[in-house]
Formats: sequence, structure tokens, C-alpha cells
Amino acid sequence: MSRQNLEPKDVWMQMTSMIDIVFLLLVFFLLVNDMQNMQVEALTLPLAYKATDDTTPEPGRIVINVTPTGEIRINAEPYGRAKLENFLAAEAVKRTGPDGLSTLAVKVRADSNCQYKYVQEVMMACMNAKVWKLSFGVSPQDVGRTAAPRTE
Amino acid sequence: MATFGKSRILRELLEEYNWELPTSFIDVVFLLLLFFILTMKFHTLEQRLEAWLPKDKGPNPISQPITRNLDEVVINVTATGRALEIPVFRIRDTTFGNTNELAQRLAQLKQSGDMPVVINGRPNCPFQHIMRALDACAWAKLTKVEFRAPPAVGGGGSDSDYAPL
Repeated sequence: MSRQNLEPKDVWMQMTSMIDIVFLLLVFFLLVNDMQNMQVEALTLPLAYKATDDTTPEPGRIVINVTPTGEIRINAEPYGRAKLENFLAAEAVKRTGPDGLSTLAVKVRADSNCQYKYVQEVMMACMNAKVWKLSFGVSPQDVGRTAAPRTE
Repeated sequence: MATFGKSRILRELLEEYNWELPTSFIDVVFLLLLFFILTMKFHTLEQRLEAWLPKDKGPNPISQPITRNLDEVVINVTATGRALEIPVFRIRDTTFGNTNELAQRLAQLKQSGDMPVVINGRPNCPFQHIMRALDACAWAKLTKVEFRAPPAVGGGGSDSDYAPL
């Protein structure tokens, strides 16, 4: 049997195409990350002990954010009172139950320092649009750090 | 015939191709890692407090007889302090300075039945205090909770439910 004369060869990798793939992945994660956070604004939510987990929201639920200055925002877009009412009314009509009432769910995420009158405006807009499934976004109160109220 | 385990040729082949991982590839990976670490925001777990609005109110209410329930409990919510950071809860003539006392009082009142509760907040009161009142109702397991609507623009309604700040 003859042996081939093996000479050392330089092996190198094409890095350019790999960097292209890496940057494509980077751009993908950047875009996906930005789209996920549009519905949820950076707010300081009120604290509550007896709140329920919000891990399974109703399908098609609308999240209304109320900033500390009273600005109403939905998906990072500002809404005035009239625009909000029209929007909620249009969405409520799309989701109507057999009893004629809307099945649209609305979650109001209001900053803990915003004045109550701004949240009242949102609630009145919901009522005028015949939306009755309302919930408020809160942060869980840590029972270990703060004494929980006793009801005994 | 040389086998895989005993092949000198194969062993020499592997030794000759001394493949080193390029340094720039590691730099790219670490830069990417650093970027995602710096831009990552931990999402705080959110919860919610249900506050279903009444179906028999609004511009086109369901036709139901509107009756005033004399047993309903009205929680007046105001605030004191320079930045209105201190909540003040009032039920009839009794004032409570914190959520604990309010929850205890509501639990005592609930012993006679699940009475309706109306939260009447001052318009300039911080929203946190309204949620504290709602949380106290949830703690006392009260389910019939409503919010009093603001007075109409231009008049109507009295401010007698609010304690002066």
C-alpha cells in the first residue's frame, strides 16, 4: 500500500458570512424586543396585596396606560377623551355577547402618582362605550416586607 | 487495511490540521453578549384587581329599577401631606389612616353580609390611595364594589362627601 505524501495545509474559516448572520440575528432581536414592549409603558403601578395574577389575559384585551401627568396611551399612541371613547366603542361593537353586552376586556395601568380624575375619565369612557370588564394593573405587595392587614 | 483505531495516517492528519478558533469570532460573541445584558430589562410581574363596571349605568343602561341601598358603605378617599402621600379613608364619621385599619373595619362590617361598597375618591387624590381602598375591599372579601362617578361639568353634586384638605 502506498502512502500519500501529506503536507500540512492551512485551514481558515470564512468569518464574513458568519458576522453577517450574527448581525441579522441582532437586528431580529432588536425589532422583536421593541414590538413586545409597546403595549406596556414604564409606569410605577400601585401596590396591592390581594391582586390576582395576570398571566392569562383575556384574548383581545386592550391595555390603557395612564402616565403620571394624566396622558392616556394605548400601544404607545396618545389618546384624548373623545378619541378614546370612539376607539373603545368601535372595539366593543366587534365583541358583543348574546345578551347584547360587550365582552371586551380593558386593563387600566395607571401610575400610582397620577391623579384619580384621569382614571375617572378612562372609566367614564369605558362606561359610555358599554365596556364593563375593567381591571386595574397593580404590582404585588411584598407581604414579607410590609405588614399585611389583619382582618380578625 | 488500516482501521480507524489504529490508523497512523488519520492520526497524522488530525495533528497536521491545527485548527484554532479565530480571536475575532470570540470578540463578536462577547460584544453580542454584552449588548443583550445591558439592554435587557427584567419585566416586573404584574397583577390585576378586577373592578367590573355596573352594566346598568351609562348612556343606554339596562332597564332595571334603580334603588338606593341604605346598607351600602361609602369609603371617602382623600389625601394629606405635602405631596398628598398620606391616604385618609373615611366611612361615615370614622377616619382611618392606613389600609390595615380600613380592611379591619370592612371585615367587621361584612359580618352582617356582603354589603355593597362605593369608593368615592377626590379627583386630585393619587391613584395609589384609590387602589389601597379597593385592595382593602378585596382583603375583606367584598365583591360588590362600585366607584362613584365624578360630578357633571358645570355644576351638580355636592362636595360634602369630601373632607377639606
